[in-house]
Amino acid sequence: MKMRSAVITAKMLFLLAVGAAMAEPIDGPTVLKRMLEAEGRVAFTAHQVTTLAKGPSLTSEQIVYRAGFRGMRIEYLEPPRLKGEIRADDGRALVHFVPKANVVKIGPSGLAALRTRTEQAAQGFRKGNLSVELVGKDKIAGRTAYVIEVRPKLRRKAPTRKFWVDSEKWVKLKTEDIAPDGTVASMSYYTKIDFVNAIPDEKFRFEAPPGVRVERRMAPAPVSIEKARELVGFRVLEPAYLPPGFKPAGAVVQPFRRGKLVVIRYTDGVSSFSLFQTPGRMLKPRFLERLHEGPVQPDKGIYSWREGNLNLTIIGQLPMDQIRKIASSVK
Amino acid sequence: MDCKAFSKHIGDYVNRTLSGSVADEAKAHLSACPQCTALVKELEGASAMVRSLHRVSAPAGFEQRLRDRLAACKAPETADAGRIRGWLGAIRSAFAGAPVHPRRLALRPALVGLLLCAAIAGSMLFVGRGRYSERADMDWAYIETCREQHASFASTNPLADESAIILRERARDLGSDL
Amino acid sequence: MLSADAVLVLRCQEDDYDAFDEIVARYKDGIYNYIWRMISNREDVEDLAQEVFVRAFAAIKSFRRESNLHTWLYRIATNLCVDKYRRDGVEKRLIIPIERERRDDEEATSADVPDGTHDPQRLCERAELQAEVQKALSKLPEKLRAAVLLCDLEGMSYEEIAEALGCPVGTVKSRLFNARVQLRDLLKAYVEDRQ
Repeated sequence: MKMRSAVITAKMLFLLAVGAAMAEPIDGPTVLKRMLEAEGRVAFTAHQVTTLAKGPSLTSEQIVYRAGFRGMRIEYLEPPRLKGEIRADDGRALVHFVPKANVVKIGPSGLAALRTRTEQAAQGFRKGNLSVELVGKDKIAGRTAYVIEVRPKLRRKAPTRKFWVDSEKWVKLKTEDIAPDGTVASMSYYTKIDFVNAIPDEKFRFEAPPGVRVERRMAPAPVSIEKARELVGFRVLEPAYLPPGFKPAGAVVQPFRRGKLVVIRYTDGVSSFSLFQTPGRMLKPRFLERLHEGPVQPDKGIYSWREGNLNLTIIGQLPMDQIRKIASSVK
Repeated sequence: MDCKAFSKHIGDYVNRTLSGSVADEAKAHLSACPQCTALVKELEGASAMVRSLHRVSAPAGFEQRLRDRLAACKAPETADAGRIRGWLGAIRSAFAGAPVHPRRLALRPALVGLLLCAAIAGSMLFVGRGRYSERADMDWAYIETCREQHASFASTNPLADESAIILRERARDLGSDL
Repeated sequence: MLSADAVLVLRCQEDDYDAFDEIVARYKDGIYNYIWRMISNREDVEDLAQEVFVRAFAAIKSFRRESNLHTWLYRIATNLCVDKYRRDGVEKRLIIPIERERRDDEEATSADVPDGTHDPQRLCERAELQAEVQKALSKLPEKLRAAVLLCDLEGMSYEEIAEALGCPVGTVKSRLFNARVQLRDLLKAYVEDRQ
């Protein structure tokens, strides 16, 4: 009798152990990891609504086609001024068709950059600056979703991103950008989503119709800051102070007027800012007054100043006092 | 308000630019004055007829013909090759030997055209270099370049709301039209 | 914050001529429409419309940011139309194309048929009415015609019309009034029908 119960107990323990190993705990970090992995894997078509709360307050509706990092296509339905616009990204170039201006703008692919950053985020977030919390379950577009909140660990008054992640396909169904004061600054969500096996490549390309003007945007590749220094003919400055959690994320050098413009990018995973510098006779005091007097958004700013012959600008999702602190530390 | 006073405001009334107490007084006068009412109706009718004219669009090929016309002019000498984008860049490339759509180099031999082109080239040479570096206005264009650059970086964060960032940029491009 | 037009002008001033292409794309239909109604001689309309942009291109470098691109273009257009009349004299004014002929050789977009009707009888009546209105317009002195077109066709405000015509707002108001009175007289039969 004792032997049999021992065997049964052993079997049960074994099954429990196997079961436990198979089922990863569904916590915030797991959901985020799967969400990031799904970015490159899932194909679907969806109807999406995007709302900005203010600056301006605006809502758009669009049809989205997505096939991992191979392609994305957005067709705007609303508002009327945007209706008919198409953005098609095939992983090599992003083509933006604006029928009302009769123009097609061609620029670097956003998906290519998204892929790099997604891989970095998936690998690094546990050790990094992000705190991820599972806060519940919800239904979006008729599908069950886990709701997670992501915020930078090291900054207390920082924006939060909230994601509703499909519990089966791990696609993000809804995103909310929440300002430090708790109000929702923007949100995007699918009202309808259909998962498909594949989407033909042609969907992600766009041929400019006859008679439409084509504008090509420059597509300089991101480089390291050291490389950027080599490429330009002036001394590139960097900030001595960065808000907690922010790290440099590469640089870009592009031709600008008679010289070059260097952009150094920084991010803490949730927010980001860019530092621009270029020499030349610009940024007169009167202009700077007008630039800085515009309506201040509590969590977003732009600040320009001159340092010798250099014109510098910081743009980013940071409160103005932080931006100014960074600016005053640039040397 | 009597007819004489109303006649000072009748234009504004028909254009619907009256407001406040003047508008109320005007309405009150009209409700009691058949002559002024008749005149207002006639003027509104005339305005409505002009408004009802259907809109004529520029014919197909208008922009290309315009480009051909402007292409007959010398490219301005004020800028470097790398900076003139678009069809004028194509003309410069043509002069440098790169292949270009032949239509863009169509030359119109009309004397008037040539004289006008000389005037354009002359005025550009004159206005271009001198005031270029003095205008603070171009700072705004620099800020727009920076904004676009930052938006394209911010929107490739997998933890950002890309749609919202793009929408904000489109709204900025289109001003208050949205 | 800078308007979209102002950014385009700045880009042109920086030799980014893609921006000028966009200016043409935005304004070509409005300018073409305005000139078409101003001079009524179809052969000359495209030439004049292109001339507007040629002149704008020549002068864009000295365009001041405080000014309004929209009214500036219409000012150039108005001046060209008025100058043309001085050169051509009165006779050319009376050549009025019947609206309906247009449909044979030009594509009519949906914007061209405001009431959306395709009933041939209605179209015929509309076409006749439009031809009469155009004839009446062409009998107005150019300055009055310009004012009423900018107001009723382009929907400009008094201030915008004043900028486009280079005259004070008070003058704009009196020109509009006089234009409508004259149109009323010329179109008396039709105006009465519409009541």
